[in-house]
Amino acid sequence: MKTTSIFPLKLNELEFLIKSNFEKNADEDLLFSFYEHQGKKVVVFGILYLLDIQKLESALLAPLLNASEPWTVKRLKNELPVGNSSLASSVDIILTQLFLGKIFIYIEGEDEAISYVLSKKMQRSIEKSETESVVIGPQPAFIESLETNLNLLQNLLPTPDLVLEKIMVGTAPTREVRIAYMKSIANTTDVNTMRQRIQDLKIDELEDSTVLTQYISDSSISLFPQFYLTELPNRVAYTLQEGKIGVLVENSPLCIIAPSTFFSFFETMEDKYMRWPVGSALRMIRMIAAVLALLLTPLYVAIVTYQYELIPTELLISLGQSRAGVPFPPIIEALIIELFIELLREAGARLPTKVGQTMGIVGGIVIGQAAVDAGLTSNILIIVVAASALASYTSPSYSMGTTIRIIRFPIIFLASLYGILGIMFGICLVLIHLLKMTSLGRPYIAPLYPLKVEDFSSVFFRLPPADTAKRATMYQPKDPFRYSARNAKRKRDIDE
Amino acid sequence: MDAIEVNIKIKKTLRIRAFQIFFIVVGIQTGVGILGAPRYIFKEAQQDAWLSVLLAFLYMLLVTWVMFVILTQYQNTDIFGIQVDIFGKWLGKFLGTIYILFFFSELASLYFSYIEIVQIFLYPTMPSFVMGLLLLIITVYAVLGGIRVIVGVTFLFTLLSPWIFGLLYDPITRMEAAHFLPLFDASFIELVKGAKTTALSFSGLEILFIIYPFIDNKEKAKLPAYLGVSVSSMFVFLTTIISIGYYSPSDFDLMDWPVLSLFKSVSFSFIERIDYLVVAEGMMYITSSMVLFAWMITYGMKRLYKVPQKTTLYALSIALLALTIFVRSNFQIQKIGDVVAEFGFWLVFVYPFALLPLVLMKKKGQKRKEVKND
Amino acid sequence: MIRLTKLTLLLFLTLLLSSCIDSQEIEKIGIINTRGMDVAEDDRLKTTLSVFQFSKQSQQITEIITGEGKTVDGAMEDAEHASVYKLVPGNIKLSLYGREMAEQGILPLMDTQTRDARISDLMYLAVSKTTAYEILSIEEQNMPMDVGMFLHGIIENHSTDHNIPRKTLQDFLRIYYDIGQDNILPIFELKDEMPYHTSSAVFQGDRMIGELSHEEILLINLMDRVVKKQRIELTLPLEPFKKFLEKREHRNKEANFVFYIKKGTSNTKLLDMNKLHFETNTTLLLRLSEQSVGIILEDKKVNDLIEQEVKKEMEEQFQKLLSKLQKLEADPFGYGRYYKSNPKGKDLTRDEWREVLPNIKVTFNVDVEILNHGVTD
Repeated sequence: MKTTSIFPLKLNELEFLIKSNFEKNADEDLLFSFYEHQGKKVVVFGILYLLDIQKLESALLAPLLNASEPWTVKRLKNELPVGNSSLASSVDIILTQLFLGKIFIYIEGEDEAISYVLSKKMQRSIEKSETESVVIGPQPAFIESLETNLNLLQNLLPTPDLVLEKIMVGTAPTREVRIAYMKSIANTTDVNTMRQRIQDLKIDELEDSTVLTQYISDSSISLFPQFYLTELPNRVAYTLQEGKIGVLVENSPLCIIAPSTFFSFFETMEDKYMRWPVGSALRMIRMIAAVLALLLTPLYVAIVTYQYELIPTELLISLGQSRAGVPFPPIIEALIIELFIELLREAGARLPTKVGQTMGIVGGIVIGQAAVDAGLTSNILIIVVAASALASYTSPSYSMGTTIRIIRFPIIFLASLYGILGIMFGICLVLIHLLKMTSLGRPYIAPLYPLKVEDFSSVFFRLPPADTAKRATMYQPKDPFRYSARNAKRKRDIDE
Repeated sequence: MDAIEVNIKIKKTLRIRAFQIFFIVVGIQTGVGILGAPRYIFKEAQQDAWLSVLLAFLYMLLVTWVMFVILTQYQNTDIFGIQVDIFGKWLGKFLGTIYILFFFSELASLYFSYIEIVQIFLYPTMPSFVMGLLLLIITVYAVLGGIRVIVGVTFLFTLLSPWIFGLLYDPITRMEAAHFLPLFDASFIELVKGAKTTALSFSGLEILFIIYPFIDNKEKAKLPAYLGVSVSSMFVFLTTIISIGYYSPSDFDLMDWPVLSLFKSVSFSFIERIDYLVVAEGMMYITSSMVLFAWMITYGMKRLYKVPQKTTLYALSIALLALTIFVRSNFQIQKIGDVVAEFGFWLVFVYPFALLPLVLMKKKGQKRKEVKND
Repeated sequence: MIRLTKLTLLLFLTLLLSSCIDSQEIEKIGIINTRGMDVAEDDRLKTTLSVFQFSKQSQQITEIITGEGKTVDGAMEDAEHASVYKLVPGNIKLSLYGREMAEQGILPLMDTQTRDARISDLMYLAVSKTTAYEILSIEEQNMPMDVGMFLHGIIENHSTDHNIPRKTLQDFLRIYYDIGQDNILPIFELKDEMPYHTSSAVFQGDRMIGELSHEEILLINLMDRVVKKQRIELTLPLEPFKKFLEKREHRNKEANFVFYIKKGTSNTKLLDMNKLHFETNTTLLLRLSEQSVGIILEDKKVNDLIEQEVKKEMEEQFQKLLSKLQKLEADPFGYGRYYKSNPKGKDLTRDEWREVLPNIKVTFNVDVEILNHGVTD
């Protein structure tokens, strides 16, 4: 009913009709300006706070009112120097477009109203990355505007090879999602799978790319993140070149990278920017740190509860002395301190930066030192917990770091139940779980299983640039070579 | 009863690469057997026990070769199909069932041995039931993932365990050369008897008969299999040599788990008791064999009787758990081990030689028929 | 979702069943680090335990607890009554036997140690000149650390350079069960309230039957393994060096020499099975570190002369030690091993060897080479 044309109308009838669709006094936000030009009555209307007022005055009102001939819709469309005009004749369309920030002009007696995009979008400027901070190398991070993000990405990869497929997701409101990949490199099956998964979504609203990953992930009950989320455009550009797929979501500063393997969560762009031996060392340290983060506290619990024989006598004595007088069993002691650390982390993350720093100091001194003095915990446990907390934050991916922190808790429990045997049990379960997992249908712990030794150089360490001509085969790229391996490896004699 | 297809088709996604055969063979052969094997060999062949291991190794290569000859006579089949083809539906199914029972006894032997090891070396008061439950949780969780995950578990766990053999450097330095003297003292019969005792630790080789149709590039499967056999023989060989050198003969006779006790004399300044870690690590060791046996049982039941794999898997776990209540003393566990060793010797290491001529004859007959028909 | 509930259910089940393992929380156990064994009256055993116990009130962590019983386990059980906590044996680093105990035989005491997998194979064994109790119960004020740890440290650190036999439980048992060799263990003795390593005990089977000095242990070590960085002090007659002496007063008829062994190895052969004739060839690479009389070492001849004298002296010492051991009927050299590795001798039993031992004949050949003699000639 509403889609039928309402025109022609008197101007005040139109005003009444539009305003009646607004609840209560929200219609005060509505701008309705009536003009008389060359004998014709004209109304300009739109939502005040969505409009770029300056532009409205200079680009629209000035030429509109200063023209010497009377306007018609046709002339408006052709002669006003504002792009993106469209015509509307039903209330429904007018209303939807009003909320997108369009301005309408209606000349009394005409059959259609004409609209122009003069919206003002509020967005922050491009800043340095916060969650994946980079010491050396390009700094900019994605922001919430999809246009800006696409602009950033396309600027890094200015080639027609880069495809940015557009898919609209959701019913109210509809959000724009872009699948980015390199036409000549990315595996077609992967692209199809991703497209299919996004198209199949039947949801009302897509809040963010983090939410999208949860909708499209392979296993919904796993604790492990199955897609890497990054806010670094150059990381996206690099991974696209490797043959992976990126997914950008409107209003989200995080780009989904798929497929992601377990080990890719420990790669940073800096590994690439550093010289290769250094980069390799750092990457390995990060992986070792993950293991430490997972096992340090459980080992403490296991040793103190069951396997006192494991540690050297000197350590045994100091451990015993610091444990003496602690009124809780080791498991409770460990859980209390772990909980304190988690509280510190949560508080630090929620509070403004300056207060957060204070929290760090307060937490460090009060909870650390005072808890030992008060006999609530042993000082060795404080060291252990602090070390494992540090280690768990070395993963460049915040979600992987959090996962590691969380799966420690069941392992701590197992350690307190069965000692080192319990830890082993936990490790076995986690490993089997990782073996079972897939990311976009590709094995999660590739290249370890299925074994692809030639990919180790791009996952566990790095090689000199001349040896990296080949792309990692585990993603099965269409084109396995980045550049000619033969040229890069050509041997030169001395003094040649 | 439904007929069983001799040749089977395996979906592409379920196939495994040939080199995985190496890890499968090593993973399934180095179970708990290796931890006790040197003692049994030593009982028969004394200080020449290491010769027995070499003998067993050569014999095993022969068995592997025979198995491949049998398997390559067919397009794509396993032992269940072959037996039905040779012996007919009823006898073939019966023999297949014997195989499954054998797998179950092997699984049970592994399972109870590890529980016993844990109770001796780590927690004397840990109830067998709890330990069994832990093992079964891992096994069931892995087997539920299907062949891809099972092979992955074997691969990963086999890869993660051999470092513990590196720790034996310390017992190696304390070896006594005089223990090997006089050399070549044992008679051939004694050597053969010693070699026969390795049947328990080397059993598991029959997995080739089951997993063969799953191999993607079959023409490349032989080398990994031979290599796998060599590596697991090498493990037994090494541990036997070290045990002979390290223990004095009359002491050695009394050791229940001589290889585990070797680790008791290894110590680092930061970890004093390596043997505890080795026992814990044993869980990976055991799991890599257990998942394969459990899978073979479920797969066999499906192949022979069309029982869903999940049903068999759960039934199997409940049966093992229930058995845990009845098996108490280590004599019973040893009994299971003895049965597996004896049974395994005939089934795994002798039976293929009997099967070979039958298969060859049948195939020849078929060819002749084909020629006639043409 | 159903899978998730199943999993949680299973985990919950394990949790329920888990309360059955005995935990050993570090502050609620007494960790034994040294155990002493003595003979008590009426055929009973007395055990002295040095135990780590942790408490907030007291800084002292070591406690000495004693117990008596008919068996080792019984004595331990008795000792536990005197302790607040459960005593655990997983960290025993040293077993000290009283002399009387050692002379009666220590093998019966080791049975529980080998049966219980929680006990480390790496504990050292030692003998006390008097009783284990006497050494373990000395006042801690005089000591830099806990007595047990002190003794353990001495054995651990000085075994390579100070002729202290370092024998772990496993080593002892290996040698015991290996027919054809006997054990030696260090003996500790109290001097001015401090334990010193004064001599070593030689065992016949599991019974201590005699003592050996540091010098004699060196000879046994030379047979047993590669000896390095060890000091050796020799007294040689002055007579042969008369020509090469510095011009100073010479009061003594003998000269003292100190050498450092750079490398010393031996190898032994059974020459004649029936005549029980063995041959041991020893090679010594020495570095001269001290000489008391001032022999001028310019000439190669002097060097050769010293080498010759050392050879003579060493061979004599070997022979002397051998006859002493033959009298004791103990064979720490391990000649029986060489006898047994011969196909004809492989059925040798312990008692047979004991009878044969006094009749064996050994030719010792010591090959000496002096590599350097410091900065002066």
